[in-house]
Amino acid sequence: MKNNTQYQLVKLDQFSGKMAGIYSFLKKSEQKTLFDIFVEENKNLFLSELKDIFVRLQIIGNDTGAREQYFKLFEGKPGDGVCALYDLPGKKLRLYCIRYGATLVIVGGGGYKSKEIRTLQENEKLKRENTIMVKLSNDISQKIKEREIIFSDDGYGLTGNLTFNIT
Amino acid sequence: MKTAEEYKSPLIEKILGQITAEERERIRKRMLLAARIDEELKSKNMKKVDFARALNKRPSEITKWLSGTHNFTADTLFDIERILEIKLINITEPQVGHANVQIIISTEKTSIGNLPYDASFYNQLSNIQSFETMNSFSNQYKN
Repeated sequence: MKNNTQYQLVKLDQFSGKMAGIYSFLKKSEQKTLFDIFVEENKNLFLSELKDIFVRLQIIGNDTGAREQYFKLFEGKPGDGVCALYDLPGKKLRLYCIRYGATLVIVGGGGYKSKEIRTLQENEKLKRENTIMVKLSNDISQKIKEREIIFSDDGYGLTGNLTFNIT
Repeated sequence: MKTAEEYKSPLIEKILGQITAEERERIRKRMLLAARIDEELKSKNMKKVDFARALNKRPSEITKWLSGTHNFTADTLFDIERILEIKLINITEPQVGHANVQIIISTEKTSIGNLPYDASFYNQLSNIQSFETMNSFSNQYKN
């Protein structure tokens, strides 16, 4: 029997601003977001990369919005919005996101992608993190279709049933 | 309808506290510069592939430039200025006897095409100018 993991969509206060809402999924069993777990996993080896990611998210939230150019698109299945924040030149810390236009981004997990690995299928950790985001994106799309979740009028937020069960 | 709860992470707060104002400003300028170039391409209806060809670069190189992570060399910025016919760096000629070179990285827009986003973004872009004064010439002539 497969385990069910429950997630809740939360708004990240430290990054959201007047130009975009930055969200993540809170893993209920651990009371940590996927982004927190990503930070914990990489803070010892990739602190400078994490700092850079933090500032970029703050700038997206407060100054520029989630401009398409800042994201590596098509990292999931066609049309699901799963993408990745661009790595710093010469660095390979991959962070998966789901982008809804320029005003809403959900940040998830990720990990180190070495130069030797060409596709995420070659890295079990990245594959797992990517699969979670693809599944959560599918769930959001389904709930939007069924009107269980709606975008707020300004496009910066999601309201409704924000709890997700992933196997 | 339930709105998303606001969440604040202590670990993220701790790391955010370690980021210096200089680091923050450097990353901010890189992203604004990339946004400025992207806006100019859009306003001129110039595709990335055409821009790349004009600069004798691969399109993947342009994608990197626009990602907001690229550390541009002065020569690259001069080339971009030439192709897009914009000013990204303003250099004031040294004055005789009291030289002073002022480099202005300008993110000010020269023209605005169709506005795909909130107009406040453009207002903000046009208000941002960073000034880095190089006084090496001044010091040299003072003595």
